[in-house]
Amino acid sequence: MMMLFALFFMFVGLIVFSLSMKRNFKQCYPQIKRPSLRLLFIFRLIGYLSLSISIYLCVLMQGLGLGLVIWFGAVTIASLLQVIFLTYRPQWTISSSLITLLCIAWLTGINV
Amino acid sequence: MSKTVNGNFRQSMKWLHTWAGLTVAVVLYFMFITGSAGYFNNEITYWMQPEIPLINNEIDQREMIAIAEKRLAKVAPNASEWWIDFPIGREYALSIWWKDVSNQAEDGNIVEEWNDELLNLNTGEPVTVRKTGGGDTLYYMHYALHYIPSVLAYWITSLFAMFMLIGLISGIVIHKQIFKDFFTFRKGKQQHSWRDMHNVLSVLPLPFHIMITYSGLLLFMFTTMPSVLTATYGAGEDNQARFNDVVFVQDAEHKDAAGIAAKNISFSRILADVEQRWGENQIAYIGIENRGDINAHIELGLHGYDGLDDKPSLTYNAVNGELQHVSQGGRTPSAAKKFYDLMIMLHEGKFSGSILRWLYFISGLMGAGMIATGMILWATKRRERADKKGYASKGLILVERLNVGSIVGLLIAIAVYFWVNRLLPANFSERESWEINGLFICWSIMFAYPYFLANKRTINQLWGDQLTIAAILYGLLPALNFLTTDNHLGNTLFSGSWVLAGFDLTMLVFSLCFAYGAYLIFHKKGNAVAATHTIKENNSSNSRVKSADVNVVVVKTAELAK
Repeated sequence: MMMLFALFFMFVGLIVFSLSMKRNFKQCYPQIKRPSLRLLFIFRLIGYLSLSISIYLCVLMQGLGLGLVIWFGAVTIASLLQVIFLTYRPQWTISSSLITLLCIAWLTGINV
Repeated sequence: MSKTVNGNFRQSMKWLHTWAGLTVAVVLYFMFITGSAGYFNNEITYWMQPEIPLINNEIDQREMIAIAEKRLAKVAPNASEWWIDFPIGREYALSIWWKDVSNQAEDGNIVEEWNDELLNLNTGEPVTVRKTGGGDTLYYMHYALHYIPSVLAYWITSLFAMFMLIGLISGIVIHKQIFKDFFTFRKGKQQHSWRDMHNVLSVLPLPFHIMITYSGLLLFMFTTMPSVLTATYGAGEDNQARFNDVVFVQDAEHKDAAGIAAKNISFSRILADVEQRWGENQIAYIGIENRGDINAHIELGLHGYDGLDDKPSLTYNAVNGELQHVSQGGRTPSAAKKFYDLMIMLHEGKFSGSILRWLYFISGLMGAGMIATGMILWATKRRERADKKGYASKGLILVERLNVGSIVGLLIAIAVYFWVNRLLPANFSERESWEINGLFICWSIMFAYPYFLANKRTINQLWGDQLTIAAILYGLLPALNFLTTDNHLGNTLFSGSWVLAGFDLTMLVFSLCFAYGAYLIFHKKGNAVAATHTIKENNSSNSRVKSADVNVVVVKTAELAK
């Protein structure tokens, strides 16, 4: 269950982090021409915070060594998914990330 | 001023990255692909030895010990050592080992001989399995290559790993906006798309890439930097042994045989103590040394890992059954040794459960993809320039053709390795070497293929051809498995043998990815033109119909598939 929380914060962190980049923001919200810098800054802040929480949860659960290994492995794949979503289905990025998370939760069962 | 210096520095790094990368790319790609496969070495071996009976999860370790002890007592009553490996974790069969010392050579010396058998859990009888290189050969090749002496191979692979590290560091330097471009992938833009893909595959798993390259270099530091050792400990075998004693301490002090006969207890006698302390069915292996002697002892290892570390191994007195020693994996307090151990553990990833193992595997494939996209980027960039000039250099044509054979060709060759395993008769005497010969013969053919067909097919079509071959070979593997063994999907899926079923299913997924890539190459609009051109004519600008969009997806699927 804790692992699911860690993954949740990881996905949220990556989404928000990508939204803090101008190019990716425009991919997701083409109707907003000029996102304000302050908004992007807040996104970046939340992104880092969220990713930090997920590292912390991983380390808390699995110990420093294994926790970091798992986190780096997972964040690699999660961000690869994020890149694919952003490129091929930019408008759905947020929902597809969360659906992926639900799929993981379903696949791995409650025993994560 | 400083900006120009910076610019020059970046330029020179770019040059280094491009050319250092291109020279070593094929071998590094080979190391990444076979190394990634190596994360599943036991699983691949399990698939390649279909005679191993499916695991029966209902049999517990007490029964297994009874089966194994009975068999050992029958075949090796006089052996000085007995060992049993349990099918737990990533071991897939109950196997027994023993050291025979009963044979005497002509000069009167005792000949030590190791023997082993796999046991059928249901009957307790030994199973004859076909000889195979299995996944271990794939794993072994990623650092020891093949056909050449291993020390030479260590030097070569270390040198290439050094180049890899140079490539990584120079790559980081020339990448201007690592964070800004973190999620950037622009599709359908020829070389921009390739560069983006190269960046994505390099930057996202960057911690993995750096860890794996650096620790790979460390693994062979005693081969490649022996003088550091010699400077402190002196040259010669004795001094080398002294170093080994200091650093690689065996913390379980095992007594030698005293020569006094004594009655030993059976394995099952200590089980109660083991189960009380560490739980039931937790044993990875158990063995007895100095059998029949008063100094005999039983050693057993526990299954699993504590974080990154091995679980302890336990030593019991085999005469009275008392716990003598609990090892902590032979670790010394030295910080350097700890760091070395940590790096090697991270490289090998032995502590990984199945999910983390997949993450390792995919990261490894992304590394291979990084190298492959780098090679393709090199060619695509120059091809665009060549098309504008209307003239392609010999070097460019060479690299374009080599790319096809090395990138897709290796994947085909690995499929052939599995095919040969199933097609050679099970009792064929040189199976192991011919499996691997098959791999390399096939890879050579795939390298030569673009040259034979240079006048008939465009580079694009050659990519399509080889992807089609790969798709067919991987796609039919489960069918071949069905025809030649009983461990096919029909059985494995329903008996819950997820490892064997997973192998077949993974092959199908690979096949689908290759097929999709080939489909895009052959059927995407615009490519019909390509069919009428040959590589030689390819020099003219409009014959280059390699739509970036197609390539993007092709290579992505190819990488994912590997």
